[in-house]
Amino acid sequence: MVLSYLLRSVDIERRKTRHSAALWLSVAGAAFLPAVFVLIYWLKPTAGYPPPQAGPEYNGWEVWLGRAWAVASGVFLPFYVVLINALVVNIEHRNNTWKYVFTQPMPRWAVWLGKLLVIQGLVVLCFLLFDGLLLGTGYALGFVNEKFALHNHAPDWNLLGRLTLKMYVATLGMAGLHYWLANRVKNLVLPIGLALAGLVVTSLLLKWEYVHLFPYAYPSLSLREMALQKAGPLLVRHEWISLGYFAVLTGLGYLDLLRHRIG
Amino acid sequence: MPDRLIEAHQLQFGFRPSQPILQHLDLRIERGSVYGFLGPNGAGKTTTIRLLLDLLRPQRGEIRLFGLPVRENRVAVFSKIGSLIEQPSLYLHLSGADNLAIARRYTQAPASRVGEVLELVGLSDAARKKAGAYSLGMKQRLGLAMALLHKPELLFLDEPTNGLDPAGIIEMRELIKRLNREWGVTVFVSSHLLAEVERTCTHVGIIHRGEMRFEGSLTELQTLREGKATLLVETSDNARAASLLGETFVVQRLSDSLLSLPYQNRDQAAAVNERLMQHGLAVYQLHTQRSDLEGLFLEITN
Repeated sequence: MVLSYLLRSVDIERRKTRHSAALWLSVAGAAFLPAVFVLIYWLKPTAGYPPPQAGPEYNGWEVWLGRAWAVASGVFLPFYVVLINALVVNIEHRNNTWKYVFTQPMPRWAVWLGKLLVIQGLVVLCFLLFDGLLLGTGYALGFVNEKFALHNHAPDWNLLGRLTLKMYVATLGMAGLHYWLANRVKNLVLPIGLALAGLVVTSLLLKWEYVHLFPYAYPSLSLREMALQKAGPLLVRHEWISLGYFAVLTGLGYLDLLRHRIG
Repeated sequence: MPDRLIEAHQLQFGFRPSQPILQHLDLRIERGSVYGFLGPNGAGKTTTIRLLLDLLRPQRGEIRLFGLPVRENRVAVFSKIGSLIEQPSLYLHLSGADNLAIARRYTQAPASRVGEVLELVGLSDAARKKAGAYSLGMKQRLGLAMALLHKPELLFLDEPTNGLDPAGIIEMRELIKRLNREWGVTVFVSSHLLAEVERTCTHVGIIHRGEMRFEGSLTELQTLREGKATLLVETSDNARAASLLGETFVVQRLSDSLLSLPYQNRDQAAAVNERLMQHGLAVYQLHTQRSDLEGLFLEITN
């Protein structure tokens, strides 16, 4: 019964995102950086060439993937996660449909969880599309210009998988906060403003001893951690805290939904 | 199967405790009725509907739909209810058919119902069009189609004719009657227009400033109107006539030329005429005036 409600709710929420800005944002957001980096490599190929002292073992993939993920983790991913939460939930605010949703024969928890799962599904889709497009465009560039040292090497699949997973986990803390916020606040300016402030503060706090408590910093922390040590535990302290924030904030958000007035 | 589909007892609600919107509100709606919930704008009609549908929580009082408390029985209760509250709730970036597909998954209605309700509300040809491109009347009809998809036993309509053109108003009125007559749907319809309620409803509740001022069948409301009828009299000497009739009746001077007294029956009119004649007064006018429902509504709500 529980599963049946959940599956129906996910199906319903998925249908609501069709032809919506949220779906396009996930596709366009994933394609933007690979497109920009293709242009850079295309227009200024020396930017992608190995350094002069590099030998034949030089693998161009590390720089190709690393550069894109570095930019993505600093600004793009946090903004994408904030926007996708706001946009998906805003479908109900904008269309004045909360009162419709909550007078349907569907438990409130199923509505809450269905929407959350669809948002997270879109985030995962965006991350995987981002990886897929980076790999596709990387191979295409390597085929066009052998000097990039992409055609004769393989990407570090393990590293890419770890990086993607850790980045995803790192965004969950923010997602928990912004999912709650999106349910309570109709306008899109507040979550965007909050994200902007969060990222500015992150740039100032990265060396602060308690930065692991600040969710907007987690993608940057994960990237830094990956750059410093390539082996080690899959998830580190701030990523566990991110999971904790997600669990607690989505739980509190649900309790808040139960008691607040609708319509 | 309970016969009383909506039951609210001593409802009290206010967004701020110091400003109650509803006070001691009782409601009883029987199966098979078309209940007109009538009141001026701001009387608390939409708030009442939101409370009944558990979108708001009352500060005091109890609500039962189909004999069950709503909060604990949401799925069971809402599977028998359709509602259209204020402006229609539609996903404007999706087509009419996509909106119905969503409604169908919420209610688990069979796919065959989609064509039926589109036909019923006259939107079969516009189903593929985006709901955002619909006129207000079409949006209202699509909202109604979504509310009717799962063949609800009880339908809530909040000011369903608001913003509709005269043809749309007549269509909506006919549809409400048809749903009730042919499908046996119990309808709870709110309106600030007495004429609207009079034309469609079997029962009426009149709310004003958060309090129920009248609740009963339309016939009872009409009987009340009879009771409010007056006898109007104009004579050659109204001052004398007033003093003569004042011995037996409560007489009011409406103007210099017109007296009014509570109407009882036809014999009373004859008796009044006889008495005036006996005292040599010429009777220019003697007729009954029934208070129209509009007047009665104003009287009840003022």
